Amino acid sequence: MPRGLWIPAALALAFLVLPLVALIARAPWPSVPELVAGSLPALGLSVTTGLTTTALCLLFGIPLAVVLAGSDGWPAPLRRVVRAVVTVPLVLPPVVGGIALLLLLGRQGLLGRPLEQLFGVTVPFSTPAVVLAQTFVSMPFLVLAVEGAVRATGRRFDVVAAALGASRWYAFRRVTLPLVAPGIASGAVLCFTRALGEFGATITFAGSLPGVTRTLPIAAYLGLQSDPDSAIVLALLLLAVSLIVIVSLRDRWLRGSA
Amino acid sequence: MTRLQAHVVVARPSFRVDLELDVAEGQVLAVLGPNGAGKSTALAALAGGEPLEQGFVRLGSATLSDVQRRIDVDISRRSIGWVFQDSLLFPHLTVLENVAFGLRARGMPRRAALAAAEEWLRLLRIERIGGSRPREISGGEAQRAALARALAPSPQLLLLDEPLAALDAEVRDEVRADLAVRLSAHRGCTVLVTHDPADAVALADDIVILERGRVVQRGTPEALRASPASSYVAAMFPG
Repeated sequence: MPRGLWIPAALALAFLVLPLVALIARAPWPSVPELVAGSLPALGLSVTTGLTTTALCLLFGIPLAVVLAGSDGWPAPLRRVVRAVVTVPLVLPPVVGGIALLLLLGRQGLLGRPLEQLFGVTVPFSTPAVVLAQTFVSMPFLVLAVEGAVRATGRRFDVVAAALGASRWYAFRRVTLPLVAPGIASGAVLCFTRALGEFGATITFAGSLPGVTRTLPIAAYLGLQSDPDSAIVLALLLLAVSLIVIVSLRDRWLRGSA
Repeated sequence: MTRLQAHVVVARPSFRVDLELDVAEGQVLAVLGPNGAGKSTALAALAGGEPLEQGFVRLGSATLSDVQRRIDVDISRRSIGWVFQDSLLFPHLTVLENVAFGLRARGMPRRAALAAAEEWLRLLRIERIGGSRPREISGGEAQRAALARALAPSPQLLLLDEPLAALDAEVRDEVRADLAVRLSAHRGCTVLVTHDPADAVALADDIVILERGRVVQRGTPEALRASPASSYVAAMFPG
């Protein structure tokens, strides 16, 4: 390795660390408990919507991942289209996702209009809208992680299970799911952290109603304009949650590989 | 009366396998041949894991495959035990749970299945490792466990695909001896695929020689030795 690489490498590291250092240095520590107490509604909303999003992604994303992992026999164009659809939210600006969700589920939307006319249901600017926005941007993380895990285990264990008399459903529950559990766990963590940080799609599709749709990132952004100290504390809270997630993930991974 | 009667023809772009066989209850047929002869493919066709181009598989009174009649029973309903060169034990289960898997999958209550599995571990002399995970045991133990797992549900058709090939010579002899005992007690039909004539002689009642997807000779070791039909047979059974 050329020594010259050390300098840009150190710069890159500093660039990642220094903002966090600034955040911690500027924190109004004496008033932190009070400010944290004031931001509990936003924290609670963020955690509950984040967990709901993760549950939804698991419920629908695992089946999608398993189907994708078995898609090699499909016609190539179909396979490519489905894969692109799954990957697009990863690279799409979240605001675009929010606008798209509005056009689908807004009062004049493709599905939103019949929903309102037939059932009196309006989705946007509600807590469920927060969950939908988060699910849209988080789902690919789970799907790609689980699909990779399913592909890595291969099909041989499926054949063994079938030869032992296991129905497909039994083999899925008793063999496939346990074997890909580590992939599901890391996918779920990625999914949760992505949901926790979601801003663009949420504010576009769900707005910023205190206690209803104002999640931590949105509260932090708004706070920066009116009450910088509270914004710093909210940012610290998000940082703390992320650190907890990373540390718990580390433990899990270390145990898994031991 | 369990009897295996089959004619499997598998066509792939690069090769073709055509094998006819008839195995009586309690009998062991060895399919012997060099690497690439299509032995494993033929075995997979019997198991339902490889589509037939032509032919049929009948086991007792049941038709498992029949191309003309468009019958193709799912692998999970064929009453087979299938052992591979790698043990392919489920890594997330203990050895005991692995052996109980087929019984559980067929609906046996957990406790009864584990008790039956325990008995199979004893029969294969690996009762010590019931609580171990597959990654903690030796190759010979893993292959014994794989045999126990395949035999535990009392399959009518036992398919052994090079079951000893991955073992060291010494361990192989031991496992082969135990396998011979288990096979003599097994009441279903057995098809053994191997490239090692020692396996065929020690374990099988009858031998079919497969070369490049075609049967070149069948018979007992004595008959093969007496009049080998090819240079491969002559090399495998020197007179």
